[in-house]
Amino acid sequence: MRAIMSGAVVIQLSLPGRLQFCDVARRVIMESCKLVGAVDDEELAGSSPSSLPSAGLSGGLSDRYEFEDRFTLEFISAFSEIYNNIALHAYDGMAHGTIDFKVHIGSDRLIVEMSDMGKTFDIDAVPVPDELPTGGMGIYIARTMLDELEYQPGPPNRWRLAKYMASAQTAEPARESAVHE
Amino acid sequence: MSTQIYQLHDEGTQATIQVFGKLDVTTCAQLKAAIDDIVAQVPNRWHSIVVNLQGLDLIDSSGVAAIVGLYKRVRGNGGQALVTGVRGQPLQVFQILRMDKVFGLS
Repeated sequence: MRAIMSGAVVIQLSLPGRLQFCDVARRVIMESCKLVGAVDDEELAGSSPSSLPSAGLSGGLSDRYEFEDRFTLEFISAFSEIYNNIALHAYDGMAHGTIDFKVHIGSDRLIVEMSDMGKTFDIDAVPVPDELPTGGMGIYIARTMLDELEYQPGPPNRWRLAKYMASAQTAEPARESAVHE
Repeated sequence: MSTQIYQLHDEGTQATIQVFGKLDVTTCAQLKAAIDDIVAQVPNRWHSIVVNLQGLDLIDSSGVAAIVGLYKRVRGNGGQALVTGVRGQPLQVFQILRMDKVFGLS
């Protein structure tokens, strides 16, 4: 996996790799999206808590998903698909397993790294969905909504999801994803 | 605790199913049971089915598959299927999958 940019704020999280925890992860990512461009390391180091931009959690969370901007909408769409891929397929049939997250919040980008100890798969073998698909759409949705989507089979399996603020107006598919070291 | 994500309205020869909130891999099972019941009554009871997604905030590929499944099965039974009210994140997902043209969405 390529090096992450310096100066980014990093959130680390580990969740059980089950579908029931997808909303927990999504909320963290949604709030992280809001902080892109709003915080940096210097600001965090020199500020009192009351002057920091709010991640929006203090006011309570509703059950609704209300997207304030296209960047968040697109990132969450992609993230949901990758999360589901890990919970459903990588950990299919496994009683235990965690998904480890590192969320890098930058001045103009959000990068989420995810790792799991589940089954691997060949991401390059996933076909483009047909006109009215009833399955197999997740990777295509994620690639289209992100600027970069990388998958490195393990163990551990590693994902890297990246999106840049300037690109939130387009919906071109992400660059080729397999990373081979 | 699960939240009801749909309401079914019997409108004579047409039925409308309104879907709310989040239609994803964790909530799809609710809708699939209703879909089976709906499809079984096409075309004898209902000639057309309207899927109203005005109240839907979030969809993933599992949710899309459920909607497409309903659409195909209703039409396969000789009925008409219409998807309406798609907005926000669900609309963007449908557009990326080029389903907006198939469903005639704005």
